[in-house]
Amino acid sequence: MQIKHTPPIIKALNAPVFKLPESYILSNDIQVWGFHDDSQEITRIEIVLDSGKWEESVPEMSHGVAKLFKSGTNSLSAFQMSASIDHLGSTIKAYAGYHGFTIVLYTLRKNILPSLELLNDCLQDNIFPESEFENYIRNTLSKLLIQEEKTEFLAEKTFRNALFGPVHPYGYSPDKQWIDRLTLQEIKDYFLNQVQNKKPTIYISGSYDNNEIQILEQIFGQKEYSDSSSARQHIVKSSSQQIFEVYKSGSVQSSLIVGKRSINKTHPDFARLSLTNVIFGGYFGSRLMLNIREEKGYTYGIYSALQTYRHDANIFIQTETSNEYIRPCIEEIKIEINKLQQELISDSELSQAKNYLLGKYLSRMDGAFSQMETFKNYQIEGLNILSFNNFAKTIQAVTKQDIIEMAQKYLGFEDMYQVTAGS
Amino acid sequence: MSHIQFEKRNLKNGLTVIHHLDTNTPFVVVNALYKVGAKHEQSTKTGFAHLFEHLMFEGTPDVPYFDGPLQESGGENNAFTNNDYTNYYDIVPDINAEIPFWLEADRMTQLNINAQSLKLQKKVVIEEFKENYINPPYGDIQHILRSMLYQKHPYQWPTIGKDIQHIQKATLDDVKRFYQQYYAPNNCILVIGGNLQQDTAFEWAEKWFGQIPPTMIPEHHLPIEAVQTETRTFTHYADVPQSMIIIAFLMPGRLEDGYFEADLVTDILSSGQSSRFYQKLVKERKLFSEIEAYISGSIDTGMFVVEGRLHDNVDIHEAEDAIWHEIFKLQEEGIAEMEIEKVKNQMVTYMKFSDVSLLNKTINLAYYELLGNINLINEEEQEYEKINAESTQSFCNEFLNKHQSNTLYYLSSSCK
Repeated sequence: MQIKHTPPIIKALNAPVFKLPESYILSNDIQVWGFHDDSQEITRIEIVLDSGKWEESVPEMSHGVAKLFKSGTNSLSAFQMSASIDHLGSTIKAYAGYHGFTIVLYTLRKNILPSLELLNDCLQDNIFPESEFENYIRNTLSKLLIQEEKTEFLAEKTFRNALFGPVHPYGYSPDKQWIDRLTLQEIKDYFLNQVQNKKPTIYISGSYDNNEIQILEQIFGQKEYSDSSSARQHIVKSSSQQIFEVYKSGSVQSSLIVGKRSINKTHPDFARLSLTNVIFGGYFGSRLMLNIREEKGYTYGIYSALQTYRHDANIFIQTETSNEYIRPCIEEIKIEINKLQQELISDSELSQAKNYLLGKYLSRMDGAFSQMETFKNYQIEGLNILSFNNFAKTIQAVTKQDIIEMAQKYLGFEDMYQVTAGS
Repeated sequence: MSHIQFEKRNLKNGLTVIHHLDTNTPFVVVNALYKVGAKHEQSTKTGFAHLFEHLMFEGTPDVPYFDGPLQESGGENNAFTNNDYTNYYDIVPDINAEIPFWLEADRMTQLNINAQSLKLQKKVVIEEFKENYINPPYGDIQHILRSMLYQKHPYQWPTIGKDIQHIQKATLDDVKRFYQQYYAPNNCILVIGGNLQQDTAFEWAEKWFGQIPPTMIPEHHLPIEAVQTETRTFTHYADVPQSMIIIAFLMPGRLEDGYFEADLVTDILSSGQSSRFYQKLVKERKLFSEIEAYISGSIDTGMFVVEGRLHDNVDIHEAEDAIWHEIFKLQEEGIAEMEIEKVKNQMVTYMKFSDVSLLNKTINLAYYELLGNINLINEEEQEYEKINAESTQSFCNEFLNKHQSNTLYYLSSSCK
């Protein structure tokens, strides 16, 4: 049976315009940003330090500090600390990104004060007991053993190493040699200089009003900070070897990564390249998916991504596929790159990709929590949020010729690294 | 407490339509849940419901490429299959809210089923099987565990299927029959959530789906899994870096007494760093690098699972005894009210954060309707609230016993 209605007309999306957050300044000049949503009595508060992996003197330090963030204070043992947080129904987690060290609190609004008191106790009075440190090392090494059984992990590790070098913050992956070498003193030093005594930026989203801003003032507004802007440099050391084969016995599939360094969001080509990436391998309807999954059936999924950092970027194609399909996959990737570099794409393919990407931009500002996530990530990457609006507008204006130009400039296969992990 | 408002209507052809308004978002979600999952498969043709889910994206005469119009609308979509049902969702900016009505109705009526797309999606699903269940370490635990616990009930195989062979064997006739039997308005729950007014939502549901004829849905009388009365153990060797021990029990289904107790007991055991397993078995006794307790959450008789990965050089029987010691403590001493209050508080926060997502709310509405009582979506918080020391203790005494246990020794071949 067929339905006898005319299909609805699809409307083109406008470029979304990012709404700015509310701004509050605490008495010690700490900046607080806020996005409201009172539909649920819940609040997320993030304390972000400008540090992350970039400020490590040895790899894995910041990860260790994050994992040991709740390891106990002079007043509460690690167990008492987690039991108190858990009892409030709150969650406190710390994690280290490339440039931000983030402590996040998820809580019911009514429990903001006691939760923040516990968080601040960890922040101001963490004693890092020896036994907790040993526990961290033991369990991290054990988890690493499992990771190293996964071809995807091995491929990504090799790829990052090749691109940026084995000790560069963008280049290293968890490795036994770093974890074995880590000392408790290094953890304490990083915590002191990069977390405890660095002036944070605070992001609050969800349900709150002036009372909660007063609580932030009461807890975080008193401490004085000295200026601590960083001038740490890391030199990229790309590998001269271009092709890597990592052997992993017994695997029925291999992981494949092909890619190279690229441009980040500060580059004028960024928006045009990100649209080109969508067309190439960035969504379900991409060239790579339609050819390699939907036509050839070589894989459950294949995608490409443009990954940007404050100081660098990389673009790569990744897939998991049966060992016998690896070669054909690489050939098809090359063919798709060539096509994109030489043939004008159709109007419909271009408009589909544009609308898809604009829809993604719209979803990044859907609700207070997403808005804050986007805003915060732009800040951590060192960008003004207004560039979000510029990207959206630029995407609307991309031409077919632009796609060819971007593919030629940034997708050349010759200088791509190629990593396979499997048997 | 927050309350999710909704309106429900039934079309003449048996389609259930539910609407939930959320004006805080510029998006609309259309979610189509079909009441067919892996438990409706024959034991010789497992993995079929999931394979079919892939075929639902293979286009129709009018829409040769399903994703196209959605992506053109600025939206996206996906689907998942589990043992109980198959669920499809489309998310679009509100200006294009009618598009998914058209697309879902279209593929409910005239799906393009042909040998080529079947052959292709078999290949894709086989790669998916390898990627998730064969290649990763410990990937086959669910396969082994389910076949141990379920002697009769079709939960004995996971959604992906028992065996790659079953997927290879699927025929075009199987596909056609499955589509005719299960993909009909009277086997579907359609939920529309987001920034779309109620009248428009029901009007469009009627316009696009109202004329689709219902079919005879096959009746399934699934066997009830009998209460287990003997201890089962199984030893499996694999090329993995560390051994695991898994102890599992049958437990009440989603709507049966004891379900919520089971859920909270797993939280007592392993949710967060103050949990018992983490404190006693990971930190104090250093037996496990990771250990967790979870429930499968299925509609019929479910699984209560304890799964721990051992540090090197730990004796597996010592580890096993340590888990039992914790279970016996639950049975003998019960759980203090304070500890129960802790996991309840965690649950409340979790539920509220999860309700922020329009997609979660929309899928949940469909799921609760499938359960047969959509109001549960707003009542579950009280159900958890009712739980006390007595009810958790009696759950542990009734269900977590050695003579009803299934123990899988998943050993690293290096200890052979």
